Amino acid sequence: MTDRLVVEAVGERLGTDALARLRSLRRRLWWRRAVRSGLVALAAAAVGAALVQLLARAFPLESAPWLQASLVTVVATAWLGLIIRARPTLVEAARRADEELDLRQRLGTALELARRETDDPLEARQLADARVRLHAVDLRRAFRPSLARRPLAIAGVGLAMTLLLVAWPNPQDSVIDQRRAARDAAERVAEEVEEIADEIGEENVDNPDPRREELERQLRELARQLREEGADREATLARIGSVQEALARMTDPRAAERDAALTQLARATSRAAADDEDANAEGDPEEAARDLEELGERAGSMTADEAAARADALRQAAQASAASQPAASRALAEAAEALDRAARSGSQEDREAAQEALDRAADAVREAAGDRRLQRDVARSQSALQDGARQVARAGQPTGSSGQPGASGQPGASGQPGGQPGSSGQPGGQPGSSGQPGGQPGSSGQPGGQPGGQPGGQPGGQPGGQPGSQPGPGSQPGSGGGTNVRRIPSGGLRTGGFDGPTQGNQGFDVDGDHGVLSDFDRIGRPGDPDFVAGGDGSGGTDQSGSGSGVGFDNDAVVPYRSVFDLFHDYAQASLDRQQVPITLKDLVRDYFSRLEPTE
Amino acid sequence: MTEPIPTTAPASDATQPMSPEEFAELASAIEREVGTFIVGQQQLVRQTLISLLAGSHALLEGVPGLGKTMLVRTMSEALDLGFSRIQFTPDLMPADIVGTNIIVEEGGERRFRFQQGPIFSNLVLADEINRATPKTQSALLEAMQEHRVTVAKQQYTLSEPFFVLATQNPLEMEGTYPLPEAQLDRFFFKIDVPFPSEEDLVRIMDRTTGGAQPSVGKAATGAQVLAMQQLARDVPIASHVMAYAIRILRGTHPDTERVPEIVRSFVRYGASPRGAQAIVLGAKIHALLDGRFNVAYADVQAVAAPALRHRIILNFEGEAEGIGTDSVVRAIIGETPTEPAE
Repeated sequence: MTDRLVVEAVGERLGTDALARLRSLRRRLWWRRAVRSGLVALAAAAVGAALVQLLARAFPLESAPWLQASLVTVVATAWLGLIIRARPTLVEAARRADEELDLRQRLGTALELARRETDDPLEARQLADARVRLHAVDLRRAFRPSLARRPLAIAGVGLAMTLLLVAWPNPQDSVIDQRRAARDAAERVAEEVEEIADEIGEENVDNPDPRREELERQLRELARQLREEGADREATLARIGSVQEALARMTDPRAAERDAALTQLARATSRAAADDEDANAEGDPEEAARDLEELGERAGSMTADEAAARADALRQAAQASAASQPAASRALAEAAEALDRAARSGSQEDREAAQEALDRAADAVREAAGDRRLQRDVARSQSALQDGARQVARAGQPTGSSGQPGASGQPGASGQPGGQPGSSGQPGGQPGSSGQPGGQPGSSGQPGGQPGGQPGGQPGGQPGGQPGSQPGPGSQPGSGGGTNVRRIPSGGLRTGGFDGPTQGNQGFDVDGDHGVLSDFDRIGRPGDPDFVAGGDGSGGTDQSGSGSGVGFDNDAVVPYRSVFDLFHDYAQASLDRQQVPITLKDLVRDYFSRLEPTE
Repeated sequence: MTEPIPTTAPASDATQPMSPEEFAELASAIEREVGTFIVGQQQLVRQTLISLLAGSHALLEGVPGLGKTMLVRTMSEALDLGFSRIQFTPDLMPADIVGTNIIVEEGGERRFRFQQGPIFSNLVLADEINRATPKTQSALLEAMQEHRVTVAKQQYTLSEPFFVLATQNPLEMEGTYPLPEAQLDRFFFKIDVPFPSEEDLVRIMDRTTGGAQPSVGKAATGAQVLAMQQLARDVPIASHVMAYAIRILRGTHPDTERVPEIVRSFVRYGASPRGAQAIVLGAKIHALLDGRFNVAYADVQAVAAPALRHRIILNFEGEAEGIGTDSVVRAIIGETPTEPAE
């Protein structure tokens, strides 16, 4: 019989007043059940939270707070469900009241009898007796919730444990921070890699190149892997390393030379094809290809002398770049031969052959341009990955208190002779910016060959009136060392917190044509109205980096030799300990061999 | 040819309905009158009265001299009922109990005439029932069950109320014929007669060794007893209380799930359904005696031991260990929940 029918029967045979009291009993019983189950739920949640905390101390459980919140939510939901299910019926309340209020099953029997339609006098007496007893019950004392000791104690212990564990520093937090930082770094790297992949993809639309498509695919795959499993720093570095290795295989070691040669070839080709000394000053291969195609179209209309002159110019252009751009140069040379032949024979057939050869040369130039684009993409990708690997490697590591300054960079090699005023060598040793490992190795990398002749008219009235028109011969490169050790404590190097250099000193080049040297702007010239002639300078003054730049927080100046050995040993140990591609090992060894002190 | 003779007439043909208050009053009066002669032993008196009001029979077990016979005699006096006593001995024959046909000469003719035995009474004391042979015991037990006797193919109905109180001595086993389980089952209650307390013993000495002899008044008639029996059966019992009684009964069976270990280990056979009937009917009467109109778990628990103790058969280990059936019943009650746990 449903509770509704019981309610009707009780209301009819026991009266509404009795029904109201029974309902009151039911509410109180329900409340007591809720309190009891609530205590159990609280105990379960507290113990669960404490267990999660314990687990979080044994393992780097990044989602521990979420787990705890989920646990509490689940327990609370279960408790609510339990409360709803635990709502007692009137019969249950009556029987429980019989049991606990010493009613001797009067109410339970009465509820059962109420549902029958009988006129038995004894049953009527029973109903009346139950009604009287029910009215005598003190409802306020019925079904008082009691706090069960065991769940209460368990909940207390669980809560205390949870609070204690929360307050007590967790050694796994640092691991979690490192993972999080590694993941963030991996995410940033993934974004950068994807940006490059997007750019490659966009650029590859017009001139589809399967190699660039493959490069784009590799970069996107790497980005995906970094996003999915970026928390594992070692794995991330390994992935980046494997892609770097793949990129290294795609890298043309002579890319720079070929690049320059292609520029030169394009410039020379356009000038030869267009017979214009100012044509294609930028050395754009596409423009050169177009010029060749136009030349081919004009081949039929050119005079023999003109064609011979063009052919000769083209031949010279081809010869100039034959070493670095053999394919394009060869095609260009063939085109020059064909053009020359056509000029000599004047036959239509040769002219057409010349036109085709010129078109082939244009295609060869374009193909070389494609190679250059690929190499540039590879280089850009390598750069991004190198930077990304550094970011990932550094992620979550305790940062140094300050960066090591450029550590007494060697003077800019003596602004040599000439005693040119102001020709002082650049001070070596740019102070490393704080925290930047591997601060620029003291601008010692700057070739000492700063033009010795700083104009005398330096703002600020530097004496040294010689205009310094001649560049100082200080062509010896500075040998500033610099260090990227994050922190060198006084009294020796700490071994515990030292993670080794993450960016070694960069090599340097002296490029005669396209190097770092550039012309300075002259400020004053002899004869200018405001020109004040200066006296002879007293010669360059070597300046040494003071090493007191920003972030220099130690008072130790570490000799280059010792720093080099330290770095070298660390790198060697790392190479031996970890799986590093052979090519990268060679690269590192080569790098250190180049930095080997020569004294 | 045997002449049929009228059966013993019932005390009252038409019993008037009785109110619970009258029931309680009469029962109280009976107990009070019995109490004038029987010192202490309230439980014994109460359980005997319940057996009587249930319309069934009781087996009293106790050492000699505890007042078993006195109790039955006093009760018969208090109830204004016919009383007879049968002292069971090994040479007692069935005819000595139920009666026999004798040859009489009436009007110059010889004919058989049934001579009633002592069983034809309202209250029958079967003293030391285990001393009679099984044949004789069976004659009594058949009369107890059927409320009639058959002699020479002629049935004679016993008058109501008919109440047999049998006694047996648990100590003297030599020369006795223990009642078979099937016959024990026919006793509504098996009531243990405990040894009186020191205080009760003092009062017994005072009453029995002094000059004054207490007299027992009539507290109820046979018709009133029948009305009480009728009313007792009308007491309502809720289904969950009935289920509790059933659970207790099932708890005596070792092959039932979740029974106490003592049952599983030491009980060979559990109680028959008659045990549950005895519990429920006894609980109803117990409730009325307690002034209630419904059966409570407490009533069931109060009558469970006398209703079940003779219906539980211990195994060899139980007998060897000296396990009493009362302890088995206590264990069952202790481990059988009345209501689902909160």
